[in-house]
Amino acid sequence: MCEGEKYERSANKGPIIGGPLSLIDTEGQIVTEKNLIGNWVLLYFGYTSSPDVGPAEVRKMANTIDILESRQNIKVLPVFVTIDPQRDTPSHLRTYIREFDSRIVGLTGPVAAIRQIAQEYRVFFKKIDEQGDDYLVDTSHNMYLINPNMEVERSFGVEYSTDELAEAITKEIKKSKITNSQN
Amino acid sequence: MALEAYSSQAADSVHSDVLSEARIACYKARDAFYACLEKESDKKPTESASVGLLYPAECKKNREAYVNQCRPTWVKHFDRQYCAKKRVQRLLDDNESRRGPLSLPQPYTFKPPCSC
Repeated sequence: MCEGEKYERSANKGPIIGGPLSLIDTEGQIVTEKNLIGNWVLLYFGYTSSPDVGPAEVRKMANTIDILESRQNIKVLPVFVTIDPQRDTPSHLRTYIREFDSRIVGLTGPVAAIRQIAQEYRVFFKKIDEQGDDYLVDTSHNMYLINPNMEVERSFGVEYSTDELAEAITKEIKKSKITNSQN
Repeated sequence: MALEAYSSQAADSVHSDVLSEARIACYKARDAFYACLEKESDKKPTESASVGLLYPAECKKNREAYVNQCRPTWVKHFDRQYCAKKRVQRLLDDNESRRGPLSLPQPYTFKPPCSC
């Protein structure tokens, strides 16, 4: 089986997004895709200075992980990548995330590294309302479900409630397990 | 390597004004201000908030508490949201003056074209 075949997908699965990453976690350690391979990952691109949507999405992510683990016995690794690396330093990110769920992996890094991963995942983000050093970041607040092969299965927007998100993730994972066992 | 350089240079400071306690205090001050606007909706709005929102002088104290508690960008964001909500409410409530078919002053009777 040659390298090219790994990335073949059926026509109705949508565009292939995602890719390698090289960022810093909240302990100051380098994290790459090698650290994530083998896990189902729920990846959220956000920023700590979000007035309302950000905290709600992180709360939703934490609650969904809880439901999946307790009711479905499914372990999904929650990852928060900041699209505001200038203000979201590792120590600030650690304090922010700890208030929600310390299982969430917080990732930041130099602006170039964040730009690269945002580009790979086609995540839109833009500074708006700049007032001196303060600004908001306009972004889609999407969450991406990534399988253990680091392939993006699908994305979820803010319209998903905690229960709907847990149900949709369960469905995707169970569907994929069925495909794997038949191989 | 850029990553190691970033890790060693990153500040240890934490922006406490976006953490849970500060958020909750901000939301509380924000809700108190908007509740005042609802309560005093019959008064003339003379003061200027942000993004074109006006409010009556009766709510000045609430406004000051709100602006002190929340980041300026957050205040602008919530003011904008409030204005949008009000606009939608006005469109939905405006059911008497502009909606539905016009009622003609007299019942219309159709006369066949050929009177033979």
